[in-house]
Amino acid sequence: MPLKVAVVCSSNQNRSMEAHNLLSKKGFNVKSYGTGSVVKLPGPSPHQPNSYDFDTTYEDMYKDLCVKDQTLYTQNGILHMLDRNRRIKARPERFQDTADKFDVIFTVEERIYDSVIEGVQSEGHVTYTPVHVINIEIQDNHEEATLGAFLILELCEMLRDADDMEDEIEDIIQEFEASHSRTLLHTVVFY
Amino acid sequence: MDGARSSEVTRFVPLGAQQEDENAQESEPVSAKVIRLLNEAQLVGKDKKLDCLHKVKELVVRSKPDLLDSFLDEVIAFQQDPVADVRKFVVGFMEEACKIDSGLLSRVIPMLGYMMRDENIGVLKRVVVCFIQLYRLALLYIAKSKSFSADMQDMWEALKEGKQQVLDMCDSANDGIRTLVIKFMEVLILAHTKKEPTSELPKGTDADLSLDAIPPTQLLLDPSELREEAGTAMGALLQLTASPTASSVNLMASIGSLSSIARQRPSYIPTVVQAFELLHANLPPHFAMSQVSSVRKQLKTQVLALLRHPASYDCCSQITTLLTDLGCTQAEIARNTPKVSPEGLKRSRPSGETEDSPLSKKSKTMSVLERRGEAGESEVDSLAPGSAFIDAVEMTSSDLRPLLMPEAVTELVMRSMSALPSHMPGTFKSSYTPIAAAGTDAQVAHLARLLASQMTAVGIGVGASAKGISTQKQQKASAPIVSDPRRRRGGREPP
Repeated sequence: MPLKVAVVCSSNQNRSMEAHNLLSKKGFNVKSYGTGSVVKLPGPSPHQPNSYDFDTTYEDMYKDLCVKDQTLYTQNGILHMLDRNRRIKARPERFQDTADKFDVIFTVEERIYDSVIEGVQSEGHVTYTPVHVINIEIQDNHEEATLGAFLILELCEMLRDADDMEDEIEDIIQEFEASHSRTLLHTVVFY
Repeated sequence: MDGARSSEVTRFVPLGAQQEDENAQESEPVSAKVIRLLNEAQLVGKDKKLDCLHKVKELVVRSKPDLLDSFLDEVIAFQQDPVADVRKFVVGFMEEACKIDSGLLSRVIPMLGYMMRDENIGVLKRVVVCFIQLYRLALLYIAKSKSFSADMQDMWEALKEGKQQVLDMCDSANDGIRTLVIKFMEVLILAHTKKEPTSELPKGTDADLSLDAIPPTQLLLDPSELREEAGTAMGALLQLTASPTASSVNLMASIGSLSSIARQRPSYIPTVVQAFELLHANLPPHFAMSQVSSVRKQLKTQVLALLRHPASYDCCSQITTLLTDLGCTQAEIARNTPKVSPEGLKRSRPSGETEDSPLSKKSKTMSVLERRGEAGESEVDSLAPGSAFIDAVEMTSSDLRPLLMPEAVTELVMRSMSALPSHMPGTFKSSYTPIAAAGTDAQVAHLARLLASQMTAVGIGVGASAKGISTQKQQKASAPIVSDPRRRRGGREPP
């Protein structure tokens, strides 16, 4: 059975969508989510982000930012990012609201890792199937998101190619950490 | 001729004839459709077979569940299919069927037991996951039955056999299987013990199952036998958690399970806190830095969850010291400490005990045992191997505590300096946190417990001698001790 993968960041805009884009092009069964209460995009200053509900489509965000300051949001790459996102799916999705089940969930920051674990555990046990949650720290900018997506892809390929993913996952993670000099967080929770 | 004709039909069918076939299929009764699909599944290759079977499931489980009884055996017949995905499908089908109609459990449980001998790990894991869910369902089904038939008795026997088969998989070479066994142990312990006044209720739609669900008039289920099994399972879980060869995934699962058990059965809180302290002091030596970080993080999360539980008041000092060691700030600890009123505290204790009573001043393990004796019923088999280790640590710790004067500790540190490595190991670097309250009673007690756990692990100290513990290896080989009813009734320890 193909591996079911989820990638989660805070707003389901940059890091998770970059990974979603790359993984789906490589044939993985992947979905992406955000854990924040609202979707945040950079604004004219660090203290003035653009905030939207998770129900807002990427298309509507794109149009809104074009009206506000097309030049600024073109220069900082936000419109390009939204354009990419709207070709993948209609709107951001909140992890806490999904009923979908996965084999592996990737997170990109420790606080998101905590939110995902809490999200799975808050539903209580229904099927008792395990899901592995892996955190790779990825900074929230375009360059790091691109690098991070390739790292997640490499790890997904290693997991997919294992004869028994659950039995080999510890060794795979250690091998990955050694080759990239990165420290990951990993746990298992149950649906 | 017919073969040639049929091959012509598959290559070219006039549009009108095709439409006629489709119309005929749409108007065909559901049962006839199911029969056709099952027959087709017998003849075709893997992908088409699964396709047919999924359609059968859609019809029988979702659209017309009253046909389940009629077609269950026909679907189960595929349990011997050479394709693993087909066998996994059969398990999933049985699981969904029983969730719709508990009456099918008596037919399904023996089949599941048979499938536990499957050689494919993926199928085996699917079987175990199904068994965990159906075990709970079956217990509830039996508990609610007003009378029991021969079929139900057979089902109960098959369930007991299946339960033992799963528990025996604790020693499986496969990490994924062991992880699932840990989860099953959690389910068994919770199902086989009674709720307590401060028990946390399980989250989500999971039906709350405990020994309270079994009426005293129930003839098949013996509550004392079930409680004993819970004690044995708890011992096995504690032993697994203390094992130096445990994988980080298994530890993660067992930490989560122990925390869940303690929150839903608060009398286990002292035992679980001690187990977490032992684990923190004795992480498997083969762990890489990231595994140490991941396990510590899981420990911290679960110990914080215990701190939030009102019944953890008695262990507050132990818990906060452990949390400090795990890198928690005082602000975080304060935020997660419940504000327990004196009335709430009195309500959570068994009658006759107050905060200043002699019982609360004894060691945590002994006080829990005596409280159970006062309450007149046993909830835990505390004589299982894991608990013997914990008791030994507690005894050695009590012995060491008065000896840990500043001069003695300074001497210990000076003597051990020569054995230190020239470079700080990565595992130490990632796990070290500065001591927040050096020299306080709580910190000295914590230090005593850390030393005691390491001494007991190598079989030295008054506790190890008293409990007959020489090395952890020998301890693992010892047979589990079944609880003696005389101990539960507050009687003397048997000779």
